[in-house]
Amino acid sequence: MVAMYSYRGTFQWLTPSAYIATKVFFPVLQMAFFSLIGGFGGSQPFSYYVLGNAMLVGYRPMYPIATGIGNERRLGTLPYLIAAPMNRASSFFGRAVVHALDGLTSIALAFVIAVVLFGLDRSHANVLGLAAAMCVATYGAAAMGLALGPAAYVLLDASFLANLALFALILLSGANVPLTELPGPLLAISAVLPMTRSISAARAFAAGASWDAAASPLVADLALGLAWGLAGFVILAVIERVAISRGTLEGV
Amino acid sequence: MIHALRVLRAAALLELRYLAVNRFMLFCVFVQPFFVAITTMFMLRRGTVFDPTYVVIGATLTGMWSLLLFNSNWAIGGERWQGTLELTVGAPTPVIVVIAGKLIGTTLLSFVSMVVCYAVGAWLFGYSITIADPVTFVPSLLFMLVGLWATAMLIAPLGILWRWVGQILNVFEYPIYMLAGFLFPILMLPTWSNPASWILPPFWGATAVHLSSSGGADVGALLGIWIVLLLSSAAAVLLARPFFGLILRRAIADGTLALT
Repeated sequence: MVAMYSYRGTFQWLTPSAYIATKVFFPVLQMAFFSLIGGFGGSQPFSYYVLGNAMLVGYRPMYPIATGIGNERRLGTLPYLIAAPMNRASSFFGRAVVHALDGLTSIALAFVIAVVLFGLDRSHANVLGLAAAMCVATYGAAAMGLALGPAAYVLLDASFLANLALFALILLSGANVPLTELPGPLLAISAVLPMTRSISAARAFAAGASWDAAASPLVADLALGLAWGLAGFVILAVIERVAISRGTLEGV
Repeated sequence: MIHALRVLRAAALLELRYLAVNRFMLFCVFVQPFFVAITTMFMLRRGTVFDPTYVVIGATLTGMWSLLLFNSNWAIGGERWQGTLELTVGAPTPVIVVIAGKLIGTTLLSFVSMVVCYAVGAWLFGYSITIADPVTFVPSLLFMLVGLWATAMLIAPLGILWRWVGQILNVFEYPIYMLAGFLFPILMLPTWSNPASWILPPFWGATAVHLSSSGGADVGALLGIWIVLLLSSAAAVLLARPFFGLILRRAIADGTLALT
């Protein structure tokens, strides 16, 4: 129930055209743009950029999940959510479920386009491994959204934070820039992004790597995603306690 | 004429004040081109065709276009949300002049993207960002601003006339980045998409600034590009006029100026 209502209510895709524009066109066009930049003059093969940017489409659930808490406050439903006699963990994590499932359709579509339009070679691919990497990348982005939402409650602009996170992923996740190119401080940020290892695993699976050879990065991203999600839960719990004691739940 | 210029100036200044505190629009001007410039520098700098000036200018154009796209799509809807659309329509000045002034303010602010991207190229990466032909670069830059503004003028009335168009327009960031050849030539795109590029003022604007910054064309060739750029810009504004008229007619007939 939480998952469905959170999806339908707090994220305002009320028309099919808005859904198609936001969920289908935008991520696919973004994938095409960065892939073509790489194809124009990048040092890596074109398929490197196509695959990386197709994986990056998995970021899609992060945005609606991150803006969810802010929307609850803006729409005046946050006090009801806090006061409701329900398990707080299921309410918090549940809101990500449908968005994450929906995100899987975006990343799957991105791969179809990558193969059909950009000629991504899948002849040697470990398809099951690639599918697993897509699922873990989407899960990681959703988990990141769970942490950004409560953080945005403090910083007052979830949209700003989510966009910042998106550009950090574009730059630092290894989708467009090989990690060996990044200087130390940026590499450290890259290491805590929950899609970095999924993208490198996807590259290995696309080249035909076996499960044993490429599964451990996925496990690492699963653990990192859990850490991001738990961090969001803890931040929200602290914010809730402080806001109730100060009477600032709805305001600033 | 003097009255219209005063309105343009007032609307532009007011819009600049509004944008100066709008976090999303500031993101488009400062943060987005910053990230696009850094990402593109990292992507291309080991390649064979790398030109840091090309990347700085291309990333600048992405920031300028994003700001103009989002703000033009919201130019009239924003008035409605703030409850000022009725006052704007009721004033003796035509609405199109007010919106033109707002978008002039937006265009001026979008220019900040160039400073951000220059800082990335010159200071963060330490490249020498040089303009091969400053004499032609300045008019190219000015005409490109006109082209971006004119395209924004055409966009402004569409989203309010048809809500689904407004939703689709919001994803027109990347298509214009690609069709206008901001960061790669349109030769990378399928040939069937080329006519779409040719009718876009931003394409001619990007071509002009890239060519004059690299010294890749003489004045004669640039003159031709400038003429096409200005003609396509004039066509965009002329095309926008009936849409503005349609907004007024529809709003008056349906009584839908205000939301309440």
